[in-house]
Amino acid sequence: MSEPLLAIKNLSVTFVSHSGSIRAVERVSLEVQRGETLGIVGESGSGKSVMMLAVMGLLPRTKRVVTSGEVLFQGGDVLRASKRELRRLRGRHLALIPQDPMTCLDPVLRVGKQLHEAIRAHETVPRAEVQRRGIELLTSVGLPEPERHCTQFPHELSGGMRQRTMIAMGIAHSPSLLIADEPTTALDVTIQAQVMDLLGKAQSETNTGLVLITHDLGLVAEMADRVVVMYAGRVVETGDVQTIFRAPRHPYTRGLLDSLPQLSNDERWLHPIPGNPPDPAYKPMGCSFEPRCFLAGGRARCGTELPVLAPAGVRGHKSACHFAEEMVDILPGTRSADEEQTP
Amino acid sequence: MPQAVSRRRAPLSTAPVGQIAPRAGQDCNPRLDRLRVFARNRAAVAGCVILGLLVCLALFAPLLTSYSPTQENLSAAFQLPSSKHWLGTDDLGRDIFSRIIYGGRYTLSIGIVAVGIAAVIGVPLGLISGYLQGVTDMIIQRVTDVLLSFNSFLLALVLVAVFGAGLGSVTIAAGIGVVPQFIRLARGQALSIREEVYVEAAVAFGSNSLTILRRHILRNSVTPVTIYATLNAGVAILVVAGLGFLGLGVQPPAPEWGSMLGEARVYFFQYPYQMTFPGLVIFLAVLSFNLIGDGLRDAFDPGTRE
Repeated sequence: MSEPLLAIKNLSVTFVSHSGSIRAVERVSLEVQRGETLGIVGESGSGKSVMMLAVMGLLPRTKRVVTSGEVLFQGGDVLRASKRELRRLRGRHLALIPQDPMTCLDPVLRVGKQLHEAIRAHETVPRAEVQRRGIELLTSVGLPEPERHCTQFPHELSGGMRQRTMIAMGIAHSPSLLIADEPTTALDVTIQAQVMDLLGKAQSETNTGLVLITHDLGLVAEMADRVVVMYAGRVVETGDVQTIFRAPRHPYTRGLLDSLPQLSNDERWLHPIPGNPPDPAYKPMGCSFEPRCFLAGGRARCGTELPVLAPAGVRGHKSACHFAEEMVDILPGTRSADEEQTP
Repeated sequence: MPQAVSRRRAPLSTAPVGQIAPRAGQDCNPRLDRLRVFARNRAAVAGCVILGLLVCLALFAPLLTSYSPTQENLSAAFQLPSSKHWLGTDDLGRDIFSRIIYGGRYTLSIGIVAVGIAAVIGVPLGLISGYLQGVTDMIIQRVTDVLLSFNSFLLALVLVAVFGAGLGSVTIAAGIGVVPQFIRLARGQALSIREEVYVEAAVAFGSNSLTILRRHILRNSVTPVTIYATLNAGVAILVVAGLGFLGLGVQPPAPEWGSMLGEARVYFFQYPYQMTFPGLVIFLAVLSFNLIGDGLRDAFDPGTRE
């Protein structure tokens, strides 16, 4: 296989504060190939957004934010790139569609101007050309009246329209890596589907690598080729999407899958994972998931030894669980509600 | 029936106090809403009326009086207000009404231009300071600290002492007198706006600092800067009048309000009206700018109202 588009190697991000340091991302390694869709799944606070900020080189470079490891994008290390190099990368080769479409457009500027700014950030093109490109982009993201849209202010647009505008800005330079940070959380279901179609289309047209940060497992199942599951700043399981959904080898992934509402059976209750993620300032010594894990059951090893990401099952499938092999016996759907400790 | 529903719900809207909930079928342009809030504020409207009146008097001065503001007429000196000289005459027989309305041209325009100068110098410095932070911020802010430790008037006074009296130097001095406040205001704006998601998004799309400063940070600071400039126009007018009073402002025989006060001071116990009227218009001008500024602030920045 050729060199990956993006290779994160042993990335750690620590925020240092007076009250102690917070390890937001710990020794994360992952790769994204050209044309591939990688889903990054995890609860709020699992470090997925911070990791992507690091990839974009958007983490503040102060003493309070300590990063280590490598983020190789097209062979160059983003963490060590100069401001100028970063600016050349961003938007042109590496684009981020921010999380919240309601706040990511400047309220005092017409939408057209902001779109033009994104276009002009990397090339000097005549005004007429910029306008034509802007309208072309807005048409391509399925906005019905691109000319009118350009003259509107953000408050005149719906969430879906803003999100599409952000996507238009993201794909303006056909970047080779597109990071979408929870692209659908603020949208209703029909718009979600349209937006995801659009991202998929943009991706296949230009062979873009797409990183989808989300906690919507349905979206991941539908869109992603491979999945990375994060918990408390670490990767706990990774593999291709079928394997992860059919035969998860980490109890956390399993918990996530079980907590999805099932329409098929008659159960009236959701099955949440008991407990909460650990406080990032005081992570347990052993496995971060141990206090909530149904497999651990007080086993000493879980509480004292940090599990490493090790191959499990099929090729490319890795799990960071000491007892990953026990997961084989517990196939999805076999764990009934009675076994669970209802909180 | 979405319209009927929205109409019924309008009074229950969660819009903050002072913000008018858009009524059904009405254009809900937020700027228009703000103007409506402003128009409802009686004090602000009064300020507009007073200022408008003063500006009109200054603009149409030649039509409103037949007396020259500078022509001396010693035979008509020290006249009390009468039907001939509405506000009386001064020690050199010049019509005070005429001098006041012509004087508005000096005092008002110097005040406004001075604030303009202050904004043009102070705002970019403040924005750069707040956006770039680090050493740049440190240097700009320490200089600002030094300037802020003088009061605006004292600063202007020092500058006039250096540059000499006269129309140009008074304008610049009054402007620089209020620059540090603008630097602080703009820095605060930049500090808060740079954390907005849309700024981060612009960075993520590869925009450079200059574009972000100009496009996003400057544009979003326009409202507070305008409000602050309006409030400071009053301060600048006081500085100009103060310099005029001390004889360091616009030089005679130009009818500047502050210098009129200064000239009339000598005769205050004999002819108090000579000082009353210039003092009154200075008061009205400053009051009107303050009322308008307060009104703008209440309309555009509901968070700061009491």
